[in-house]
Amino acid sequence: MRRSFQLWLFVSVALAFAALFYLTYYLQTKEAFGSAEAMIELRMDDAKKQIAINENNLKAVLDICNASMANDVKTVAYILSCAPAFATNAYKLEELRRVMGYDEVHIINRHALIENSAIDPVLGNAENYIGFNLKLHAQSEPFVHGIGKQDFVLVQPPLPRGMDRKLFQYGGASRLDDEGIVQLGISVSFLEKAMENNSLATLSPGLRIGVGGEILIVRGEKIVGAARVDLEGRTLTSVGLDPELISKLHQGEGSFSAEIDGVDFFGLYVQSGDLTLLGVMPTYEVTRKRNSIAIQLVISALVLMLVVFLSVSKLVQVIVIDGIDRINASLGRITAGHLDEKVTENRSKEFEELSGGINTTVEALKGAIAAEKTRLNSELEFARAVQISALPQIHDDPRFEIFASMEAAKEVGGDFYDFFIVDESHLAFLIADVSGKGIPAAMFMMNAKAQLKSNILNNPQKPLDEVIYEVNNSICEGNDACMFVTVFVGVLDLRSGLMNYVNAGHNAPIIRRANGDASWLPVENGFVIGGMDSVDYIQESVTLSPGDGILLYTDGVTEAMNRQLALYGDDRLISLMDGPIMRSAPTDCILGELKSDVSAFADGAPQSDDITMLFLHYLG
Amino acid sequence: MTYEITSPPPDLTVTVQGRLDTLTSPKLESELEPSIAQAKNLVLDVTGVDYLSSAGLRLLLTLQKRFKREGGSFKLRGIQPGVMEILRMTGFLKILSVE
Repeated sequence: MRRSFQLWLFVSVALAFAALFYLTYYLQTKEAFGSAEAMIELRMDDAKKQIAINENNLKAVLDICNASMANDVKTVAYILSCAPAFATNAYKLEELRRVMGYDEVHIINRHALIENSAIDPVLGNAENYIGFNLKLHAQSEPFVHGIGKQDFVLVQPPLPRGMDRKLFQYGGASRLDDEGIVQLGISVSFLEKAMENNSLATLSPGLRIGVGGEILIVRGEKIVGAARVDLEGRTLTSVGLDPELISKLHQGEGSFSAEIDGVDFFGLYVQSGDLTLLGVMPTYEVTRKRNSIAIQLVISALVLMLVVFLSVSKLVQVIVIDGIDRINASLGRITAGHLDEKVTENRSKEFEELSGGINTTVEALKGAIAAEKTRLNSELEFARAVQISALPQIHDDPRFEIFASMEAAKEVGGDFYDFFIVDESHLAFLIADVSGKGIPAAMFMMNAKAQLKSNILNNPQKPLDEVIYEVNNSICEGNDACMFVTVFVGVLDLRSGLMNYVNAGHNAPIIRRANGDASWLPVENGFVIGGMDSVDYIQESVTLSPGDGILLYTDGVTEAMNRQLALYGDDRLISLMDGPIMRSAPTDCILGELKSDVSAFADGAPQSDDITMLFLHYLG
Repeated sequence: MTYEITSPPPDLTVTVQGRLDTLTSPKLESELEPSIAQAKNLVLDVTGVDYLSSAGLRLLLTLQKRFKREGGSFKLRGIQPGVMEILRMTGFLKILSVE
């Protein structure tokens, strides 16, 4: 019971712990991703704002540059109309170029051909440009459309040029002095710096999220801005995202989880113009706090669970199980037969009631047992009376004296003796010991006694061994219980003193001569009666002289035990019979003396077997 | 009385110690019943038996009849003088096999 309770308790506590852990884990996970989302969102807003600011700044710078160039090119057109010499004279034009601070000045005629040029000597030779047809080059072709138009002004965006791909900007306006175009060119390397400052790649390092998180700025498939140098410039496919996710990232906004270069990331995505912003955080960073809370929770809950388990277990042990154990111990003693045992467990009202119930039941049981015992005793007493009434009465016959006594260890014994006159000159006498005791032995005994008597009486001429042979076969029939009886039977011819006898497994009798000498009667040890059929017995004989006697007894005498469990024994018996006490004892005192000696030997030890004895005194 | 099965069925050997009396004999008989049911032959080693009452004799008789009926053998081994005297007196020596 204790084990199963503890198991039950353990399972409940463990389940409660698991539920608590799961709930906390779930809430903490939700909280972790929620706060990560909020943090990423905040940084994405920052990024969007920063991108917008940068774009505006760059646009402002470019606008200023463009306006300035438009103004300058219109100024040059005006100067040419005032002083046409500048248009035709290379030196004058070079002077003007230096004053204006441009790298190139080209004068284009109505045929779109350069007719005069001034170029910073560092960049090249002006003469090489003379005769260049603007129509033949994609960059210069847009200016051709201004030829013949009034108020034409075109400022091109800065474009990379030449081997070093430096930014170069051209601007043009319609000539006022003649049909054609005047064109200015300038290297705008300062703009390069401004554009670089505006680059998304330089923006990203400032947009970290937490420790390992960042904003990835994506244009199309390509990561154009990232805090991590190793990501910048790579495509989304190359860092490990699958196509389905990539197409999702390019539409609207939301959250996603993905592996980037083998590390789990959690992130948000949002569109910003032609850019896609991905705010990502390593999942382990998102869940780090949750995990540390979970570990703390597991440790503290385990300790708590152990405390709860041990204290409840102990409490139940003390309150319930100890009480039940004590009751069980009492019940054990009761079922072992100690009906006086009282159950005294009363630590609680329930136990008190249980104890009271058990005690009442045991009391009732005791009453029933006592009643049954009384009934059985009266039956046994009745059986005893029947048994005693079956024993023969002492004969008053001048030819012999018989003394007999029987003391049963239980109310009904398995011993018996018998003697009867067979005919006018023969006396039969016997003693027997049935295996077992109680009612079954008594019933077996009554049957054996009747069989012996009737067979001997009905066959006075038959040899005694043959009579016993018949008796044995008759008793063996239907003796399934394997009971048997040891018998010594003798038939004494009262005229001659010749005694025929058969011993069927019984103790050898003692013959006591008239002069007091006592000795064992020699006996052939035949098999017990009832044990097995068709067993042969042997008849023997001895002649008694007047005054001689025969002592028959059962093993209750020789196997009487003292407190040290020693047996009375044959030796003590023959010594007593042959000793001075018996020699001087009158025949009617022999059995009394023998009984006293056995009692003295037993020294108060309880009698374990029936003690039966018979003394036949032949008078002649 | 204590006993020990020193050889399992079918050639069962049981070694008995102590007294075979009214109390112990039925106990031995009922406790040995499962082993005896499987046994072809039985040897009862009574070297340690110093007393045999009529209940003990009855047990021997039951065993003898049983093994004889089943066509097996039942033998006693190590009979002590006191027990031998009882067996002799009751004629049991005539029907029992002794090793």
